[in-house]
Amino acid sequence: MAVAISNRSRRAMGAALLQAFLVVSSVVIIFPFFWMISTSLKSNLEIFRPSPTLFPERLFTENYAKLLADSSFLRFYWNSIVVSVVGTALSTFSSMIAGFVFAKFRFPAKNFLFFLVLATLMVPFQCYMIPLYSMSVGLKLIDTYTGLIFPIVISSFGIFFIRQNMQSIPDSLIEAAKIDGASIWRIFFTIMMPLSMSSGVALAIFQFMTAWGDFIWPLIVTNSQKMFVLELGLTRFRGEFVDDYGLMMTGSTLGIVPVLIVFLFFRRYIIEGVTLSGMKA
Amino acid sequence: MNSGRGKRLFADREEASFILAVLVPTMAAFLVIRLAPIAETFVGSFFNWSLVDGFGRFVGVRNYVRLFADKTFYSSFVNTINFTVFTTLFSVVLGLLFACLLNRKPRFSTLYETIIFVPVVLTFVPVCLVWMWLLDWESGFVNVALRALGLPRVSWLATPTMSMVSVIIVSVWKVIGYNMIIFSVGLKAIPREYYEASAIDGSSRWTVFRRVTLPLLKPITLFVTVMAVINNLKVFTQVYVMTMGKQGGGAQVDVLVSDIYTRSFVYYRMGSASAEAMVLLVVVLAMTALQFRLAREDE
Amino acid sequence: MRRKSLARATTAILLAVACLAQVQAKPVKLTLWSGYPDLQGFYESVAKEFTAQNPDITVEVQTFALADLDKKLGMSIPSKTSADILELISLYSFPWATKYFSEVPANLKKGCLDVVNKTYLHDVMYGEKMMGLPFCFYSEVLYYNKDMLAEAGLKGPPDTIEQLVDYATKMTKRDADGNVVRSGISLRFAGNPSGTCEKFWAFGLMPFGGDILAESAKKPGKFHNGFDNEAGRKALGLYLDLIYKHKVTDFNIKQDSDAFAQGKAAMLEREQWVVGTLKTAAPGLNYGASALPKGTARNTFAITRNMFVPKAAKDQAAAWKFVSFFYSKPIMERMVRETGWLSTRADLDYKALLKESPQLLAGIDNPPDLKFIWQKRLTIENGIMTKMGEEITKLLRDQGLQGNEAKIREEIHKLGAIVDDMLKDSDLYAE
Repeated sequence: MAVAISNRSRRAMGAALLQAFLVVSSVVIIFPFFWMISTSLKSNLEIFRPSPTLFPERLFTENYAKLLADSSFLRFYWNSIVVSVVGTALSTFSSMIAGFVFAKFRFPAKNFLFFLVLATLMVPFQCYMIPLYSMSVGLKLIDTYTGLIFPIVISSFGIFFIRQNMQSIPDSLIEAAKIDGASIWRIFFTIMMPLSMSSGVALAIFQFMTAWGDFIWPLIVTNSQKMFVLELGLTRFRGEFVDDYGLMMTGSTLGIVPVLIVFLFFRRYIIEGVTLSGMKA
Repeated sequence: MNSGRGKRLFADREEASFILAVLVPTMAAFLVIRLAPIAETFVGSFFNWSLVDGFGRFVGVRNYVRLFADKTFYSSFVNTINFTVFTTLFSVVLGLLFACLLNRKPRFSTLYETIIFVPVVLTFVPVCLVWMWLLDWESGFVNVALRALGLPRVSWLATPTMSMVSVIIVSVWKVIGYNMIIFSVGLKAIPREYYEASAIDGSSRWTVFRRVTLPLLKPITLFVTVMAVINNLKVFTQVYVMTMGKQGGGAQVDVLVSDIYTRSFVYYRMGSASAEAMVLLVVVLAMTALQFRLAREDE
Repeated sequence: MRRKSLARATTAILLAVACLAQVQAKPVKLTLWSGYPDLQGFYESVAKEFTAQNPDITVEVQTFALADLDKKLGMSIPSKTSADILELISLYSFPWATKYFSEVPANLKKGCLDVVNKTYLHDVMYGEKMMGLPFCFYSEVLYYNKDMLAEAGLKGPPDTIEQLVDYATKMTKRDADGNVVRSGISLRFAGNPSGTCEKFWAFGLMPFGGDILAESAKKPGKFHNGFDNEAGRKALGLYLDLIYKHKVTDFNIKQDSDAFAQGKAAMLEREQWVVGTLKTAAPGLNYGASALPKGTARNTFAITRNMFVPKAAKDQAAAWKFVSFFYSKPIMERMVRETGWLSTRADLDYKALLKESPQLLAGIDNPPDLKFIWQKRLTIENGIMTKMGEEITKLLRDQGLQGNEAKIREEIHKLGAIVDDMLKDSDLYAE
């Protein structure tokens, strides 16, 4: 009798400790985000004060009103959505299909090609953006949606990630489908994709986030304001001498909303996708 | 079924045409979007390439020789390695920690998971600004909190060393959620049967973790660590915003990519920048190969 | 017979006129780039006014963060994909001006020369050729907090370097642990290294007659470092003494205009834009501005902002027309009044325009002994200043250097050699 209680209370204490740890960690981790939102609701005067205030004295929603009514801001938003959605769709699909090939097939030079794909991941963008820019000039892609999107339609990270995940899908499933007479394309769409749903969705989320936050390529490939993306538009709030911190934080907060929505909406698929798969030999 | 042929799963012709149908466009895209520009950078490293005057004349390995004699290159290199080691270590371990803790499905786990992932979703420039405010000596919230707790203030951004520490803190903070999600995907793939078997067995949680979970997570761990190392070796934005900004900000920290940037856009020495980029590529390749080798040895 | 040929001639003439009219009425769209996002509103309103007067020309204004603009210039100017009008500070124009920009057309040049304050022409004149139109300038002045001066019993801003050191020491405040809570004067030793070097140039080298680069007397057009001398040693010594001997500031406390705005610095050497910042950040601050104090000489630097038109711009005439409109008296007056940026036009009534911000007059009412020192306009100059800035930052952190004359001499000599090497590398060195 005494032993049973002690086990239960031990487990309860463990659970309580876990909660405590998680609460403290979460508060620490979310604090900068909270600060960002708090700043976006402060007037510039309050932001510049020497001693910081945790909460705004008065909710200064003027910045939000200003940005949401600003047609160029909304245009930047729209451009970001177009570029990120199209780019993500293309790169996720291309990564899944190429990841499938690298995971489940054998062919000459396979390792070499995979190494090549992986190697391109290792060169930072800053190092090859100038030749890429010259190419875009030659192809007349400056200031176009195509110009903004084309560098992100493929992803070495994506291929790597999907390959790793698909390798753990049992070959027996594929063999069984083959016996049933399925074509490779059908196998891909009816077996591989559903089974790697969680990694596919995770990949899509990551790709979307990367595309959304990118500003270096948009900076150099677009010349006119109407083609700016959101991240680029935000840099304009950093004047050379005066930073409009309030507007910048407001713009950034508004800017995260789509990515947060995408994450919140799709995270279920990551978890459920795995349990639905009924995986494991 | 496929006797004597090892792992071949498909008949020849169908397989070949599928592979071609997928790989030809994919590799063509890689060629155009990545390989060709990188190749041009490689070629450029052997020329006296200036952003202002164009490609210039062939100078052989002069850019490389000069690079290896340059003090700034070495300090950038050392800083980059330091940054990579610490950021990778902390971000992978903490990511795994949170993934495991949340895998136990405590109450509110969805909320915690979302909160921990939020930093990943934020974009770098505003995030760095916020952190710079939070780490300010006098009015930054971190020091205010430390003082309230009776602890001494920390000079987060005044010296190059502390500046680096601050950049590492921001980088780790930003990426924990990302690693956590990837580990979560891996953890959830481990069937309950394994855990149940050990529970019957009577093993402690830690033993289960060490003997069952970790080994099964190996491919994921390898993936997370390799990606972390690659990304950390390429670090730029945080360093640029937090230490190379116009006013305020931290003492300058040089890393390889920021040095490449300075060579390109301040000195206009594209040849030198390209040489450094190629050296960085070799470093990344070496470290990645090393990790794969270490992983295989464990087996 | 005669009527027919008359009719034909008239038709021909009418047709010709119609064609000409068509050609002239073709709509032109120009783009303008600027590195000052806070001026987007102002530029757009000027562009609108311009189009109202010239309906077939529209000007689209793009502003970028200055550092980003630099990147864009590097990519777009050589590939001829840049904007038609570039509003740049001189420093960003040096690599491109002679090779990629077009000369200011003769009538605009004359119009400018008639009204401009000739002091500010330096950076755009390459011999007789004017490669851009300088419309705005900002110069380095001394800002001081009047309340803090009064508190320390001081009558006015310091006029000499000795007074500067003295006043800064008197106005410094420290807390119980010895940490500085109010700098006597804000110093620049962090952030963008080229800016740090610029401040070293203005604050340290200039009062003692030094310069970053000096032109070779024997071989004009070639240069060597201008600070491996008494001036350079005194400059470094000044910084080190202020930090370690008089302890007027430290590495922790906030610096620059933010510090001045929050009352964490009693004095600051900066350009005119500070006035605009202080209006929003610290509207009640009681401060003044004066010319830089003198050492063996009273020097300062000025930076001009200029309009350039690249050779690759499609419609040169239209572009210069806009520039001409921009530089007209009413627009320049608006600029001064609304944005606080000072114009290079000498014919404006600044006292009236700057009634709200009298501190800006410090940039206009220059004392007679004030001399302007200019940059040498070399492509490598930004690189040299960046490198120097990095080295100076390191030197300033070395407490052991303070008061150690031999070591200071050695370090300055080393720094001079670094700069000379960079010049040699670009084939620009001569003694």
